Amino acid sequence: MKTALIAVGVLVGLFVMLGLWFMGVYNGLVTKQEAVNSAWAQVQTQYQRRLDLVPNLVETVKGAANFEKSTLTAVVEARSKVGSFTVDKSVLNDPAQFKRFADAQGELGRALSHLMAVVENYPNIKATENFRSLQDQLEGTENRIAVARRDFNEAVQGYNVGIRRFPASVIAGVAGFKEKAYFAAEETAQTAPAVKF
Amino acid sequence: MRRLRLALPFLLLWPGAAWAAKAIPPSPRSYVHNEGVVSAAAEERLSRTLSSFAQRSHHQFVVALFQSMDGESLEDYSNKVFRAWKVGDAKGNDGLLLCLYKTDRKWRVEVGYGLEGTITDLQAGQIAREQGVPHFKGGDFDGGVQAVVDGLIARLEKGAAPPPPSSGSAEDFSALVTVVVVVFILLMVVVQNVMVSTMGKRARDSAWFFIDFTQGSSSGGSSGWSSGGSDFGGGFSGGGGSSGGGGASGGW
Repeated sequence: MKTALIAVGVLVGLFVMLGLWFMGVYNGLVTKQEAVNSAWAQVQTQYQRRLDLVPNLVETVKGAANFEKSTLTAVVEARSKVGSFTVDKSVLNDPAQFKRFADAQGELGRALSHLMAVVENYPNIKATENFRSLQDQLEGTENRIAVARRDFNEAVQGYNVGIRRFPASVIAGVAGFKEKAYFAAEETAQTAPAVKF
Repeated sequence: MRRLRLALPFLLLWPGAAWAAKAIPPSPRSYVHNEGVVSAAAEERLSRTLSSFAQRSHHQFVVALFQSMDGESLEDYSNKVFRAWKVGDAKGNDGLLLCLYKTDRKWRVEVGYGLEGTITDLQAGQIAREQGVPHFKGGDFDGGVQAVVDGLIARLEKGAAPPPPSSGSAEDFSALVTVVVVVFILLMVVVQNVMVSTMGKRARDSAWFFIDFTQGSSSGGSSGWSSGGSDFGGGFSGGGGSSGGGGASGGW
């Protein structure tokens, strides 16, 4: 009778410990996931900021006589492509969709840096206060995007390692934590200073 | 060698460990990190300006003067320095960092999240370009750095609202803890007193925190551990602030 009680006690104790451990690991993963989500929100905020700058920039540049149409068209097209994405955090679990989004943003980044490079040939635009201000804002935004992307990648890295490490991987599998996509390193090249020609 | 080969993949996995990264110097004790870019007298003067500004405004403004960025990216490295030193208050993220890389001929003003509205990228750029760069061009770092610092401080003091009343998550949390502790103690006191009154002397002897109401003991509510505050004793110690890459940069 007494031994049976002890056995039951030990068993209950083990279950409680297992439950506590499960809870700890699960909560740790939730925290990591939230870190990814908030880093993603920051990335989107900064991308949005860049998107908002574009119409003003295009308007400023368009005013100049015989400005290269193709450069402007590329920017406008890239912008509308980016604008067509409705991106929420579910995109993080869909690598293909994530890549399309990142590629579209990359294209807009390249088109913009090309635009800024071309403007170098138009001293009358370059000299205006309005353009100067837009240039500073764009530079600042590109830099914020770079920082946000770096933070995001680090958060995803922490999360992905977290869900793949044994034995947390078992819990992650049961609870449906999936690996998340992150930005390819190649894309950071878009923030490199534009070549003047 | 074998150990190195084993460690290498892990190093590559870790994003912070880019190869040949320039180490971030330890957080300075004063508001100036000077690698021989400005004279000792100028450093002293900067330090006084910045620490009195910190006392006045509760904003941390740090100046970091490097000889070189050793091939790092200007924006990236400056941001990492800002975050490593935790410039500014943890809640308000209201720090400011001026970086100068002498041999690279580059400067950067890194603005904490919370100050991005007070100092826009454009204003940060203008101040540095108009008040600093002409000095830098002539090799006058003593004057140039001081001029930029004065310009930025003037901008901050013009645009800044008075320091926000301290209310926020950290204070809320410590207030909550205090309330919980006080309620717990009160509850125990009530329980003990009930026990004493119902069971008499035996309970009184074993009551390990019996408090006689007639003696009117009071335990003050605020044990007050201040969170993330900055050290206003003239020296700098990081307040926990962060920056998302706001600010401006340029060269001369």
